[in-house]
Amino acid sequence: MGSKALLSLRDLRLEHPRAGVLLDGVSLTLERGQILGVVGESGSGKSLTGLSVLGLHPAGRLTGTMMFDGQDLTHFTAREWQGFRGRRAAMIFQDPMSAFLPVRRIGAQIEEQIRLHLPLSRREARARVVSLLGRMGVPSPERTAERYPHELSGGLRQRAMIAMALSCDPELLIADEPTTALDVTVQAQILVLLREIGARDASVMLITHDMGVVAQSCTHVAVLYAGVVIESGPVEAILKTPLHPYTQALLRAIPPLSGPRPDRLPVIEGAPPAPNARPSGCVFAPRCASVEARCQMRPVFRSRGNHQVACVLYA
Amino acid sequence: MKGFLSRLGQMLLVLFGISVLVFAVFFATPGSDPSARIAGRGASPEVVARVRHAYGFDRALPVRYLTMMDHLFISRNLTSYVNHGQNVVEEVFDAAPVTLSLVAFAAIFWVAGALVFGLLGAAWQGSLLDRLISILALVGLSMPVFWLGEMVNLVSQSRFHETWLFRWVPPLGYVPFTTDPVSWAKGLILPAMTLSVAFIGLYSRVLRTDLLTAMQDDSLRTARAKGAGPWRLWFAHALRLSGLSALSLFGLDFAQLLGGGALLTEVVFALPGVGHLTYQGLSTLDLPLIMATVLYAAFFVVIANALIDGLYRLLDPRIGRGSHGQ
Amino acid sequence: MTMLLQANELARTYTVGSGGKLRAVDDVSLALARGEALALVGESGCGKSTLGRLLMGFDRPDRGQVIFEGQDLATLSTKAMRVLRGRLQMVFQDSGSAFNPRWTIGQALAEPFRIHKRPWSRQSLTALLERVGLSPAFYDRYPAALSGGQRQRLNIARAIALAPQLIVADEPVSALDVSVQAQIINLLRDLQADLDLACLFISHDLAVVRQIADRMAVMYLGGIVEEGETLSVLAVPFHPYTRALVDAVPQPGKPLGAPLQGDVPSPLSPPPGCRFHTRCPIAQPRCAAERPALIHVGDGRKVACHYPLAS
Repeated sequence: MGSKALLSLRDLRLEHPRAGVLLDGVSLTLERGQILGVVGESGSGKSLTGLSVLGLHPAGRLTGTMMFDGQDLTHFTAREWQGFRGRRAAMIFQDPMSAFLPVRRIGAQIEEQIRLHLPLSRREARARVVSLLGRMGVPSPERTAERYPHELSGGLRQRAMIAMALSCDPELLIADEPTTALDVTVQAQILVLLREIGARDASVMLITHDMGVVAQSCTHVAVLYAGVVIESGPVEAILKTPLHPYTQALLRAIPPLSGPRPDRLPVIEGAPPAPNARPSGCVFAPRCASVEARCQMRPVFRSRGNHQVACVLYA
Repeated sequence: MKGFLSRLGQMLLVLFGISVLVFAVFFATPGSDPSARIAGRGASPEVVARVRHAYGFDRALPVRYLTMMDHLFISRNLTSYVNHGQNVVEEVFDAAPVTLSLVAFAAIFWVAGALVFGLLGAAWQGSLLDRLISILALVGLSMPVFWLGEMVNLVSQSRFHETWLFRWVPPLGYVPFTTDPVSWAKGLILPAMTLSVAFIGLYSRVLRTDLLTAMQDDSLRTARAKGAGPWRLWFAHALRLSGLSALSLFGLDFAQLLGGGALLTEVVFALPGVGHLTYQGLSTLDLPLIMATVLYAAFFVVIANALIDGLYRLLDPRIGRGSHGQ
Repeated sequence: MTMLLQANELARTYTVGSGGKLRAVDDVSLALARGEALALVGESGCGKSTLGRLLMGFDRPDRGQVIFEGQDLATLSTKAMRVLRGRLQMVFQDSGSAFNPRWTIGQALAEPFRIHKRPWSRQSLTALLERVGLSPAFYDRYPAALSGGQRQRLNIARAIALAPQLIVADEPVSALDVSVQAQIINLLRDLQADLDLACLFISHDLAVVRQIADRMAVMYLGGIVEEGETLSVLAVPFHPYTRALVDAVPQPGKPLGAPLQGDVPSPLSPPPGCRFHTRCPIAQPRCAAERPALIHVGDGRKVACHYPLAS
């Protein structure tokens, strides 16, 4: 496990001609062997961040750098992207039902990806599909490979999706809300699987809205708000001593499952700003309880202990 | 098996309904009394009465209906009111291969044309090419097929027939495949192209829209994330997804044409097909002929529906099989 | 205590495509007191939404009865049912599609009054908006101007417009972000207390249920497996399925436990005996043969298990 970062985004910005500034300064680092949780509310840009790493973001002006294993992804050509996607970095999506092509067998769809990238015969690819499905905990993998997506349960579909993503031994797995569409007991199974993958197969970027999921499955976390990474660091450190007022409020707003039941949940008043109406200063300032004059200026994202945080309180 | 039986029942019901409707409408049409027509112009009332009795037109309508159905389906010797002694069942069966040949040829042109123009329009969405194709499609859609057919005839049969471009065009009419396959094909190329123009216009637009919708589908995003290139995206993924909705449209149009919907083309190019027969029956108010052609058409539409359903089941595994997904 | 809503041995079976029988709700009895908040909890396909529809009278049970304020819903005429609708309201998960985009928010709010021929005024409607924490300035605007959380507030405003006695809320906050979710949970609790409103929450999220409901019933494959006071059930679950659900909730500061294996069996062919025995970590031979009844185990708790935990 080298200390050199596998993926490093520096001040990534994505400006869409109509929708506005979708990403407004995303900086994060993912080292080999880490599971990085990218957490944020809807519209925070967390999914877009994941899509950008594969060059699948909507058309728009993308600035900043995206370094992957020493290469700058922002300069990739269409051909380079094709060889990169699915081979070096792969992605799984929220709804495994719609993410698979409904009219082809699961096995054939996984095989397609293998044959796109690896010089294997059909038979070899087939064997690889079966062994992959088995490794992902799919019961009777030979038979499952012959099934259509709609014939599988949600949990099995997501396992098959993960098998497809890992089929060419990528170095990075991007998982975009992989458990949101699943039942809680199945979600727990998939999270355990992702943790095993992080320890064994690939570095993982886990995109989620759920701090609980991050707390249980990730080693590191980056918190996004309105297109900006406002805090990042090791999971235990962030959960124990969240620095940014938004992270603090977000953690407080989760209803507890044990201990005394609060009469009222602490809330963050208001709603996140729309992409075309972001404040020029700190993006969280309009909802922040500790807002002050200095918040008119966009705070710098700087290290503090093992955290990185963008807030004037820690300047 | 259960599905097959219910289909069969459904088909019989449709055929029964249509035949009753045609029958009822015919006898409710003023001036349609077949006795007077059969007896001839200026025949005396006694002659007309004799004809009426001989043909059984003085019996109750339901009896007449049943007699006609008996002649049509069981003894298969229903004869025309206009050309005495002509067996309409045989006529329809003689005309069917002509129509089938024409429509099959047209379908090849129209599917190929729709694929080419649909894919080009979708892949270069919003470009000059896309706009040009959409204008052409509109032109194709709005050109009346009889006018287009006449123009094609004018150009290929008389005006430029002697040029290198049209020297191969045979005279109007139909040569059976069994007589001479080459002449059969030559004779059908221009009529089929004429017939397919409007369909290419319609289907290329439908396919373009469906393809663009499919490109937005989640599964296409997955395909991109897998590292699939543009060819694979369009052909293996988008076309596979969008072909399904175009298929049901195609099935209905195809059946409709087989059943006589290519009437105008057949008339313009003097092809003795089912449409031509329908035209003839309608213009002479010949009930047996009308009945035979209409039921033949209905039969095809029902059959085609069943075929398309079967094909759909084959192409879209989500339909028809037991599933335990949501 | 007279119950506001009572369900006696409800059963609802659907016939699906190829003649299969789907037992969505299988012999469920439930009671809801005035002003009480009850949560129906379970994973997809457990029958909680079907049960919600049966209780609302949107769907008729094959067996059993639903009694609202002493009246059997099955015996009511269409007209009487319509009158009853004013006292029984529903809040759905997807608040976005619940409004006609061409009506102003004021028009949308006036609709229940129009339908039930009750008087309303601009003042009463703006008061309603303020009651759910929306600015009266929204009155003349369109639903498109609202954020997800605000739309859910409007949904709630519409549900409480006619001062109902019962609200059935199907996953009312699951489409919302955490920070907004907390606002709506607080709002629902306030309204419930202020208006003495009985609420039936249908939810899969135990943390939300804990915050919002006095009592909860856990469903698995069409039947209730455990019922009781929310805090007590979540602190000490008796049924192994409830235990597994609690363990599976991802929460900060709580390690990820060993998850339940496998998937929920298809409701088309539920396992014999205890429905849960195929996934149960402590199943015994008896569980495969004999279906446990939902029995009282004291302290207002009920459980359907041959070998309940912690007892």
